[in-house]
Amino acid sequence: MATPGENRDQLIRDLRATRTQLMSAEWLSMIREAPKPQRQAAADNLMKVQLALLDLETQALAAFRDQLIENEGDIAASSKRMRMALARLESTAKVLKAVGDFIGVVARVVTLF
Amino acid sequence: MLLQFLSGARRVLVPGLLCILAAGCTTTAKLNSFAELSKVGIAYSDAAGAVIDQAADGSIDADTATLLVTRELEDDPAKRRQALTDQSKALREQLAVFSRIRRHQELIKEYFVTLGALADAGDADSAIGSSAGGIIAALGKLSPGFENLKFGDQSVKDFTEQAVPLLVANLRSRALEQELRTNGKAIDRELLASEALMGFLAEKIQADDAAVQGPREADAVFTPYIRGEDLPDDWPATRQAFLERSVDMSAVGNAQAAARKLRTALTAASEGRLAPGQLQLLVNDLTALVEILENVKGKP
Repeated sequence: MATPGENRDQLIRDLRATRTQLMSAEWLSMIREAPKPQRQAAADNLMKVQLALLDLETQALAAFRDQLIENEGDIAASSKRMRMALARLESTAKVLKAVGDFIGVVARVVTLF
Repeated sequence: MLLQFLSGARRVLVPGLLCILAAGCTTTAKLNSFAELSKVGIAYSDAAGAVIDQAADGSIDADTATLLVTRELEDDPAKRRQALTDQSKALREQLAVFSRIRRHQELIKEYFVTLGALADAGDADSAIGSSAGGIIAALGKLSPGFENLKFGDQSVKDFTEQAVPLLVANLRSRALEQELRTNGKAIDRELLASEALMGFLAEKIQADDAAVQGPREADAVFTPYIRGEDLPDDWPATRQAFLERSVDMSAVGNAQAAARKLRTALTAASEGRLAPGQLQLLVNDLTALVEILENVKGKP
């Protein structure tokens, strides 16, 4: 049995196919020549299909958005940990340089005496 | 006293340092893989961003195209107003969701940029090695015997300058592997969702494009042909362009495949079995995808 999400996705596909049909060159070339009531009915159908499609697509996109946002905390934390690891390595270089400079000073002082 | 200490330490340090040097190639290869992975991740983020932008723009274009057709077929001002009002409201809601997804994509890009910064040290590790070598040189001034100390054919200073960067590289590699092990599931979930999103958007882009192209094709191809007037000289070329466009659009589906391949590559990297070829193919796919999206904007 299909899930609500799968039903929604199938409905979106069906609506897209219908809209493609209502916006196709073949259909438009015919309906433009049709009597007014038929043209108005076609316009009404197109508006309803487009509105339904926009609503369902927005629902589907909101579901994707929620899934993605759920991960944001973990991904931001991961980026932070990597930045900290990088900072530790950079501070290692600073400490080593400071130690080297200090020993260099000591060496100069020792050689004086 | 310092020399005595160092002589003792040499027996312990030399085998350790030799191991580090031997393992250095493996570590460097791993770091290179992570650096490449970062580049691919950034390229994917950019491509996914381009897909999202194209989908949002395409949604507006398709909605506008349907409104224009509605206006052409419906001459009742009240119904025209209703169509414009209702569709604009629904479209604004959709664009707000797109905007939030787009912001999320920037966070993913930042993740891969940071991963690259940790993997691709550039000259930073050799700077640490130089600093360590500087300490040895300074110690040599304190004790001339220390300066002459040798490990095999190399002085202790030379040895330190080579081994320390490899030690640091090893720390980088371990930090990256640890990070992917710790947070691999979150990235995997992220890319799974992104893969499904790209599939959804690829279908949306194609469907919206079809809605935009239909009326254009009707005006440029069908109407002149049916009316029996003289056809414009470029009519065959125009018709060909419309026919070929639908083939171009089907390649937008590559975005979904790229997300799947990136997920596979990340898993492989965290397990230390990433093949360089995997990444090159992925870069090709992503480059092709961005080119397709750029071409789609301008045709016909």
